[in-house]
Amino acid sequence: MYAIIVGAGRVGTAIARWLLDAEQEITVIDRDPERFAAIEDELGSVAVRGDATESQVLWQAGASRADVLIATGRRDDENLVICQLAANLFGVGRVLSIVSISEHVELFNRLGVSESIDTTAIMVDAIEERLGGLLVDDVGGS
Amino acid sequence: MTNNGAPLPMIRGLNRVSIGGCGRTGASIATALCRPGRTVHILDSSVDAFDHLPRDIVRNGLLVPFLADITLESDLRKAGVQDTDVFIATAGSDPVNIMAAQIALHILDVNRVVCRLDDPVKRDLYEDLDLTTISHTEILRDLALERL
Repeated sequence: MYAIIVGAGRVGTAIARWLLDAEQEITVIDRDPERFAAIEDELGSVAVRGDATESQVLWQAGASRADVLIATGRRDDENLVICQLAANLFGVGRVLSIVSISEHVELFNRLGVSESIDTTAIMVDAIEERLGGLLVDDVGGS
Repeated sequence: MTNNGAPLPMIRGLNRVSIGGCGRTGASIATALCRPGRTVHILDSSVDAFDHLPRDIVRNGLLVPFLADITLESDLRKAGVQDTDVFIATAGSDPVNIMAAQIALHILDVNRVVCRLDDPVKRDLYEDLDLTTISHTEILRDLALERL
């Protein structure tokens, strides 16, 4: 499997490490020179430096032969554009995106170009699960 | 009071207009569209951006500024974008305009949505994905060639 990971932050880097350990082929895209250098230092020549919302950067990363793209950037608008470019322009079969602002999930789903991962909802669910036992009957709602 | 509308022809069915992004472009489109009987809302996430608007027109109530993040459906709704005839996304960032325009088109069901995009590759893609796009770069190129 060939995977493109956009964003060499903590999440992107951890996913890259995991896929390399599983002996998959990857490319990481990040426009920040320091994060780009850190990825190359740790994982070898697996990175492309550039803005993944630009189609030529995706092309340079080999998007046309990628099986999967994972957008892990902080900005939902950029993640959305990257996913739409990957799916519609390069025909990437599976496109996953982190979504930071929960109300954007509906748009991602409506546009049908990505599997969205709502990070806020995941954290809130985890906290609710852990603290649920503390609550007796003074909190309403679902 | 001194400004009785810009010298543009009346565009039919354009009584309520929303403009996303109050940079020079957004402010100038908004000002040109202002006339009695038409409501123009202009949205930006920075208060300072509204300095681009002519004060007399804002004071007249013809042009209404809204502090809003145009990539948020909830902010667009607070500014009444779902009830407008046309939404024009003209912020300085292509991804911001793309997200705002697609929310207006697919979630708020605005009839006419125009999206400013400067990258020609994205223009082609999003025209295929049902957005009407305009591009500074292409307009300037055509004007330059025309003058030559």
